[in-house]
Amino acid sequence: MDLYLPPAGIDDFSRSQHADDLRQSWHDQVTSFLRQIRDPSRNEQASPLFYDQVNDTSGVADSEPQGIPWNGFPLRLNRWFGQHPPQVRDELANRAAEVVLRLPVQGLFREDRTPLALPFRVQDEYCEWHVEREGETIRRISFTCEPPEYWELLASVDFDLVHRLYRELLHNDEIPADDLRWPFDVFRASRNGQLVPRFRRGDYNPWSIWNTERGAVHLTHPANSLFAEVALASDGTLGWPVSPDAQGQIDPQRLMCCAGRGGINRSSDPLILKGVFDFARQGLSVALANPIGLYMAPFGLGGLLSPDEEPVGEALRFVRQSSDGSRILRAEVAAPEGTGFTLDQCTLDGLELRHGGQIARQITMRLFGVAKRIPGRSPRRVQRCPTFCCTHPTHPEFLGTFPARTGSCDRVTDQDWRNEAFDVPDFPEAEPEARGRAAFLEAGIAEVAASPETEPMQPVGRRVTAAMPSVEIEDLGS
Amino acid sequence: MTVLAGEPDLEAEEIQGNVLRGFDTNHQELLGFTLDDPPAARPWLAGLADRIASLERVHDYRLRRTAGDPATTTEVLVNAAFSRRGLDALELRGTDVGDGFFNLAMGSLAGSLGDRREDYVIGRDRESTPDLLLLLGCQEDETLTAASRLFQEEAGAAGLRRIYQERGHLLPGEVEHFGYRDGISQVGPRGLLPGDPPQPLTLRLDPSDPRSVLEGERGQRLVWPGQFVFGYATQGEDPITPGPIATGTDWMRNGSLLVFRRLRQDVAAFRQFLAETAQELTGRLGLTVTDRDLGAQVVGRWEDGTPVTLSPEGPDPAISGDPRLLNTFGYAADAQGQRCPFFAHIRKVNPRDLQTDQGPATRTLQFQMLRRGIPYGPHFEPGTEAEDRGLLFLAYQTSFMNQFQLLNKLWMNNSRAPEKEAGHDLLVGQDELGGARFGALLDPLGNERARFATRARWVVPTGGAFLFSPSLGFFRRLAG
Repeated sequence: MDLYLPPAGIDDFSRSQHADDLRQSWHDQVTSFLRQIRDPSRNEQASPLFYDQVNDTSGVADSEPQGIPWNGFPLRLNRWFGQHPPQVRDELANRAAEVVLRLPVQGLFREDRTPLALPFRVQDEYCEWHVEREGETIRRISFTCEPPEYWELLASVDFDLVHRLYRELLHNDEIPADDLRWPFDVFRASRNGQLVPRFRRGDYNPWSIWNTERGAVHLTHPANSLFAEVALASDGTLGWPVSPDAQGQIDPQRLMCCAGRGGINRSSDPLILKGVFDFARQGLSVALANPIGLYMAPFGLGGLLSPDEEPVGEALRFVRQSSDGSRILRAEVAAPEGTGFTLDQCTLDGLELRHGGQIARQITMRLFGVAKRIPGRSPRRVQRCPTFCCTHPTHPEFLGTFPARTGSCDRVTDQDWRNEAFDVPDFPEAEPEARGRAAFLEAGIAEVAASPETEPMQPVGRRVTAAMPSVEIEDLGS
Repeated sequence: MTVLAGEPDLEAEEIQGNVLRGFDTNHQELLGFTLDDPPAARPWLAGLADRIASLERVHDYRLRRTAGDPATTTEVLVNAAFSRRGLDALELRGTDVGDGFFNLAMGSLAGSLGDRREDYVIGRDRESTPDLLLLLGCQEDETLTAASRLFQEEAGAAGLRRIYQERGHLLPGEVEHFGYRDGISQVGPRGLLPGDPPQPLTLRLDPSDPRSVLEGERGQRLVWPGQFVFGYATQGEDPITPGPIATGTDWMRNGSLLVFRRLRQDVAAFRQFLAETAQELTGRLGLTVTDRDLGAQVVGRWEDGTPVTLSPEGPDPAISGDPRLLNTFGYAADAQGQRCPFFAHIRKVNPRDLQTDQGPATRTLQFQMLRRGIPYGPHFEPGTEAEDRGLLFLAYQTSFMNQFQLLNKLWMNNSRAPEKEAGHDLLVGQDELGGARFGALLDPLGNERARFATRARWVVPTGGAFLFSPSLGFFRRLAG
C-alpha cells in the first residue's frame, strides 16, 4: 500500500536511524486525521464527498493533481492598510508582516492555568519568512511553508535530527538543543475544561526563539496549520446553502461568509473553499493529493539588482523542495559570497530591499487536489449559514465573519472586531526609514503613526479566523 | 445618468489628454530626447504648457471629430512625459515618485520582466532612455510629419538631443499586426468634466438600468480616476465607494505614470506556431483544430473581437458589432476553462468576475491600466517577414508595481496564476524563469487534454521606459 509522503516528499527520514518508524508515523498521522475528519461520529460536519486519496477503495481513478494558487503575501494586511494609497499601504503592510507577535492564541496553558503567550509571525498565507538582520544589514531572508505538524512528528521520533536540521537551515552551529525544548509542561483545555498535557518538559517547542524571533524553520501563525487546511478542503465539499446568481454562479466571498470556514481576508482560503465547492456541486469527490502540503511554486528574482544596478545572479536558492522542483518548501535569498555587498544594498524592482514581504508578494503558493466521481456519493446539505460577514467600521476593506446568532453587523462589538483582527500588530512603532524613500511615502506613514487607530492592541481571547478543525484533535504532536 | 457620490470634478485643463481620454488618432509619433543642457531647455519646456493637449481639449477634439469637424483632420495633439533622469535634470527628486520601476531604466529590469536586454533598441540603460518623451498625434500623416519636424527643430535649438523617433499607425479595422481587433476592453474612468452641469467623462447608461452603477455606456467597467491620475480617489475593493486618494508630492498632482514598451511582432512566427500546433492538436485530440481556432484560444477572442467565452465555435457579428456585448462578459460560468482556456491573453490580464490568487474579483479592477498603444511598421504581407513591425504599447496608471508589474510579471509571465497552472499568456507573455512557454487544455476535472510548449518568440520586447506624465501646471512652473 502507498504511504502518505512527507510534504514535497522531502527526504529527512532517511537521515534518521528511525527512518521506517518516521515514514509509517507520518502516514499514520495523516491517515488518522483524515479518518477523524471523515467520520460522522467524530465530526458532525463530515462530508461524504471528501476522500482519503491513499486509502480510498472505490476503485475509481483520481484526476491529475490540480494546483490552486494564491499569493504569498498576507491579503489581510493589504486590506487592513487598504485605506492608504498603494505605495503607502504596501510599505505599512510589509513592515507589519515582520512583527513577531506574542499573544495567548494557541490555547495553551501552564499548569497553574496561566495562558501562554507564544510568539508567531503575522504571515497567514502559509508562507512565512524571517529577515536576518545585523543592525541595518540584511544577511539573508528565508521563506518557509513547512507545516508545524511535520516538525512535531519528526521531533517526537528523532529530536536530534530536528536539532541538526535547525542548525543546517539556520546556518548556525551554535544553536543549543535545549533552546528547542519546552522548559516546563504545557497544557491545553479539554472539552470539559480540564487541563490535559499537550507538551511535556523537554518536548520540542514549535515556538522557540529559533523558529520565531531568530529564524523561520516552519510555520508559526496559528492559522497556518496543514490539518486546518485539510479540514477546510473537507468543509468545502459540503452543500452550503448559498444561492447562485443569475448565471448560476456562486461568489467565493459569499460562500466564505456563509460557511465561516477559513479566513475571509486571506487570498488562499476563499480560493480553496470555492475550488472544492465547485467540484462538489457537480457531485464530484475531492481529496488533497499525496504528498499533502502547502507549497511555493518555483519563482525567480530577476528584479534583484546589485548596488551598481546589475542583476544579482545566484541570490535565490531553493533549499528544500520535491525532487522535480515543482514543490518548494524552503527558499533562501542572500547576496552571493564574495560580492562585497549585502541584500540591504540591493534593490528589488527598483526599491531598496528592506522587507521579506517585497519578495513574498512575488511568490505563488499552491496546494494540490484531486477529484473524481465516486458512484453513490452526493453532497451533504447544510441547512443554514452558520456565519455572516461585515465590513470593518474604520478599515473598509477588512472583513469579519461572525456567528449567525450575532444577528446583524450593527450588533458586532468592538471586542468582536479586535478578535477578528487579533493578529494585526500594534503598528507602526518604528520611526519611518529615511534612506532614500519617497518623501510622500514618509509623510503617509507619519500620518498613520499619529492616527488614533494605531493604539496598542490588547491581547485577546482565542479566536482564530482561519479554518480550525471542527473536531477535537487528540493525536497531534507528541 | 448615474453618477456616484464622491465622483470628483476632474481638473480637465490640467491633466494631459492622452491619459484619461486618449488621442486615438490614425497616426502618432514618439520623440525621445535627452536634456543635455537642462537650464537651457527649461524655457522651451515651460512653453509646452501652452501646446500640450489637456484632457479638456482632447475631449472636445474627440467630440468634434466624431461630429465630422474637418478641422480635426489636421489638428496635432501633443503630450509629454519625463523619465526619472529627466526629472532629476530639472532638479526635481525623481525618487519622490515613489515607484521602484520608475527609478530604473527598463533594461535594468529586463530580467524581472522576462525580456532579453540584448533585444533592446531603446531604454537598455539610463543613457538610452529618453529624459523626455513627446507624443504627437494627428489624423493626417503629412501634417504629423511637419509638426514632428518643427518640434525637433525647436527642441534642438533648446539644447535637447533626439535619441528616439518612431511613428505608429492604426491598421485598417483597428487590428494589431496578428490580425486581431485591439483595444476593445478598456475600463472607463469615473469623474466629471467641467460644464453646466458637469458631465461624466465616461458616458453612462440610463439610471433605470441597474448596471449603470458599475458600467459605462459601452459596457466599460467604471474605475475611480486615482487609478490613473494622482490626486484622485483610487479603486477600492468596493467598486462604488471611492478608495484612498492616489497621493504624491505636490508636483505629481494631475500627473500619471506612463509605461512605454516597444513590442516587436513576428507575424510569420506566430502563424507558424498556430499552424504547427493546430495540426498537432488535431492529431492528439481527435478533432479538427484549425489555425483560427487555436489563435482564438490564445487571444481569447476571434479576429473580429468576439470573445470565445461567448461564442466558442466561431466569430459572431451580432456580438462583434455590439460594443456592450464585446465588453460585458465574465468567466465565472466557465470556471474550468472549457470555453476560454486559462492561458488566453484576455483572460490572463483581466479575469473579470473570478476570484484570483490576489483576492476577490473586485480587486482585479485595481490592477487595470488605461492602454493607449498603437501599431508601428508596415502591415504584414508575405515576403515582408524581415521588416520591423509591432506595437508601441503605452499605458497609464498610478502604480507601476501594482498595475503594470502585477499584470505583466505575476500573471502574463506566470504559468500558475491568476487561476490555475495552465500556462503563460501565450500571446504576449514571456517565461518568468526564461524557459519555454506553454498552454494546457484541461478537461472539466482538471486533467490535461493537451499541452503545447514553445520557445519561439512572436512578441519580442525591444525596450521602453517608465515615465511620469505631469500636469500642465508642472510645465508652467518650469518657467519660474
